[in-house]
Amino acid sequence: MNHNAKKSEVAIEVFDLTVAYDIKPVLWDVDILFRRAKSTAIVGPNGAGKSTLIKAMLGMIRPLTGAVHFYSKSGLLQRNQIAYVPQSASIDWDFPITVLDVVLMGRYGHLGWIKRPGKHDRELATDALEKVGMQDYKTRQISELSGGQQQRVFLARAFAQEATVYLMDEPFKGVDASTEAAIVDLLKEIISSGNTIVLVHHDLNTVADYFDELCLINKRIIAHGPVEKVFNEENINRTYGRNSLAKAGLA
Amino acid sequence: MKGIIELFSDYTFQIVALGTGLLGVVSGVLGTFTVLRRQSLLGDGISHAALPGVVIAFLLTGTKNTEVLLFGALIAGLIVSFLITLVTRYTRVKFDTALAVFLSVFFGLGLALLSYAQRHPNANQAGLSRFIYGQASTFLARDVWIVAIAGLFVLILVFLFWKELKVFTFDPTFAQSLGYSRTRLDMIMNLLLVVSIVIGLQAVGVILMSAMFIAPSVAARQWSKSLGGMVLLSAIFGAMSGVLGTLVSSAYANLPTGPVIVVCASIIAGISLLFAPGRGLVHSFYRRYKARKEMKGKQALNA
Repeated sequence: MNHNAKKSEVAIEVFDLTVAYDIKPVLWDVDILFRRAKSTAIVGPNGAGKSTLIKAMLGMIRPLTGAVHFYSKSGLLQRNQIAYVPQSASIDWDFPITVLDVVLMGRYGHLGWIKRPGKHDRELATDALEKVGMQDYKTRQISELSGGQQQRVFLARAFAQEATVYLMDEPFKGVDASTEAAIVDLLKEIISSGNTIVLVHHDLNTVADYFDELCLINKRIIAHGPVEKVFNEENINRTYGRNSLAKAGLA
Repeated sequence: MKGIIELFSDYTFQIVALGTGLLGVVSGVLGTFTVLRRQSLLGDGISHAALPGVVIAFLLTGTKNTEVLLFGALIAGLIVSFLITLVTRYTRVKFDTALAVFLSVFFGLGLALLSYAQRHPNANQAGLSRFIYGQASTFLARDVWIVAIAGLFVLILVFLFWKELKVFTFDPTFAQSLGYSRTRLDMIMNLLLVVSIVIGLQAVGVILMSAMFIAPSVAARQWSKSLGGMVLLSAIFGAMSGVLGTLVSSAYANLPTGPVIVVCASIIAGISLLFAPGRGLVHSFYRRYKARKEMKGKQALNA
């Protein structure tokens, strides 16, 4: 796991992270660093602890051991630097709320307790919606959106946060091909403006096209590094079990 | 008609209707959040659990002061809401199971203590059993003040923490990722819920109180497109049920107020479920019927 990266190149560092639900370890002794202005896919089988890693990085789950630093500082101080994009299945899409209201929530972290979003926040939210091509849906109910549109709204909310690190939990789940292409363009834009992406991903077919780095995980880190070095049959088999690449139709 | 006008100018009616109307507003507002958080029955658990609090307060102090008895209910309610949150978060017991367990244990304890307390010489006078089914007709101006002050406290907190309650109800994990403490928000939410339940116990009773939370917000959901709209409408429906229920039960001397209020709230909910545009059953049946008819027409053309 030694990248020998300079401090200024590192966005997130995870040290000795072990997470357990009850006594069953979900993540075991994870040491990893995510480089600045790179996109990293976290890939692994179901139950490998991918979402758990993201949530532990956000401080939502208390680990048994370990620590997470953003820009060499403790994570909690850096909240507004981090945009979290949850799985879209995790919320109730029948909630009585408009698209703009959801995106405005991206500003709540900057506002703190009690203070309401103002004109500046609304402008940023509107800009974010334009960025994802959803400006015409501003006043729509979220229940009227398709799966792809839901995901774009989540991305707009993340943009409204003006964060520098994006932690995304399966943003490609349940979206159609054109939305997937649009999201990929947005990811590239995030990277080219110097920001960092860590993204839970499922589709091995697209890893090489979409991402700079790959982190293979199955409770432990199996392999991590530039996609062209890490993405090979041996590593995939070590992550998923024997001959899984052949099964996935990639061999 | 003349009877109704007379009723409205009757002081006792005015007091009771004011109390139940205010109560309806507060429970309508809070109910919106519990219904949207899919915790509709949390109110049921807390209200049942308040009974032993009332009886213990009576046994300890021997007083029939409503303030004292309701304070007991408040403590019991806070304890049980805290226990439910704790058990749900730190054990594998699911929310509904934890709720069912604490509801029945506390309510059972309340009933047992109640029959013990009945032997107490002041017990009948204290009218403890009114907390089971509620007795709005016993409302005095003092009691309305309790409802008004506690209700105002709840509404002010909802106004202040509006943004936090909104994001926390809609997407709790995202709220946490922004740095908002889930424990703190849970505590605020539980406090608001317990206070608004406690002020309704005297009028509606521990058994039916949760309907005051659920019915107006279910009705309001049918008609509204924003959280603010839903909260406002739910408050209006709650107030309507309170006043209407009081009116009906005053017009027919033998009808108990609490249950009639709940019936009114349920009728409003039923009408909304059936007839609201867009979400109502009638409208969606009509839409489906129309679509099917059009489809048949097209198939006939093709054939």
